[in-house]
Amino acid sequence: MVTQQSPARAEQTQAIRRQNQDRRFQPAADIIETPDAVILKLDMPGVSKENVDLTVDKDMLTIFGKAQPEEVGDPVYRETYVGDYQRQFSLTADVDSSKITATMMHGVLTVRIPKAEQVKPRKIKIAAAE
Amino acid sequence: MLVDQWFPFFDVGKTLEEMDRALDQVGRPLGLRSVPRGTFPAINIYQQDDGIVMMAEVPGVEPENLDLTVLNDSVTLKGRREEKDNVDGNRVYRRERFQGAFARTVTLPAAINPDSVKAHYAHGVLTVRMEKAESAKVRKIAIQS
Repeated sequence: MVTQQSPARAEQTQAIRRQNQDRRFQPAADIIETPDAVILKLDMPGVSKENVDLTVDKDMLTIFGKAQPEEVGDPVYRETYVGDYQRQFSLTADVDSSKITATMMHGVLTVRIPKAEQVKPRKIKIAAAE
Repeated sequence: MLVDQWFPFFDVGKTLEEMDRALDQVGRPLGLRSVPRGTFPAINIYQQDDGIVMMAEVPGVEPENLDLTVLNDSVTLKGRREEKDNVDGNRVYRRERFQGAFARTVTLPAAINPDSVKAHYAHGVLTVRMEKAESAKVRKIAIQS
């Protein structure tokens, strides 16, 4: 059976394709707080170390990853969309945004955001009062 | 002629399609690149003339911890991903990434030659290249005149 696409439908298919081209996907993230830092872990498969871009603008941390295209034949079965990764996090004044470090390993980006000195947990010594 | 008569609901169908599209996007989990959660790893399969390519997104898994087996026209990928960050003193605010053991079996579009399977792991993506079995290859038949 041949199904004829209505003109409106065809127009929308085009629109969806255009939209897909520069669509950015949010990578899944874990947020973990350790005593002296906040750790972000993001799944960005297909992104090499060179194609990750981290920017801090005022209190906004933007993570962008450019994924390599994987077109190697006719798609038979697809579970992912083709696109780049982008996710933004807002930082509070409690972190030291000038000391952010990041590592990329097997497609997982680990971002370490150190806490500011004044918010780190401190142990208070009890002076003996005799 | 009634053809040119103004009919206010002429594009209801189009509007409904538009709504379906909008809602479809809402249903997608978080705008994540992959499919619904619990489907880990995400797998794409491509077909070439004589071969099949399977790509699985397994970020953060050491290649040694991946177990790939092939039987006729199905491929099974097993493995385990665990983060050791849930220790005392740490607070977990968000856990979107898959944790634990996974096993997925996919059926390929054609039978493959098990000796031809080559797997390559880079940047969290496992690429498995396979050649189709001789019986599944497309053959060109010469036409005699």
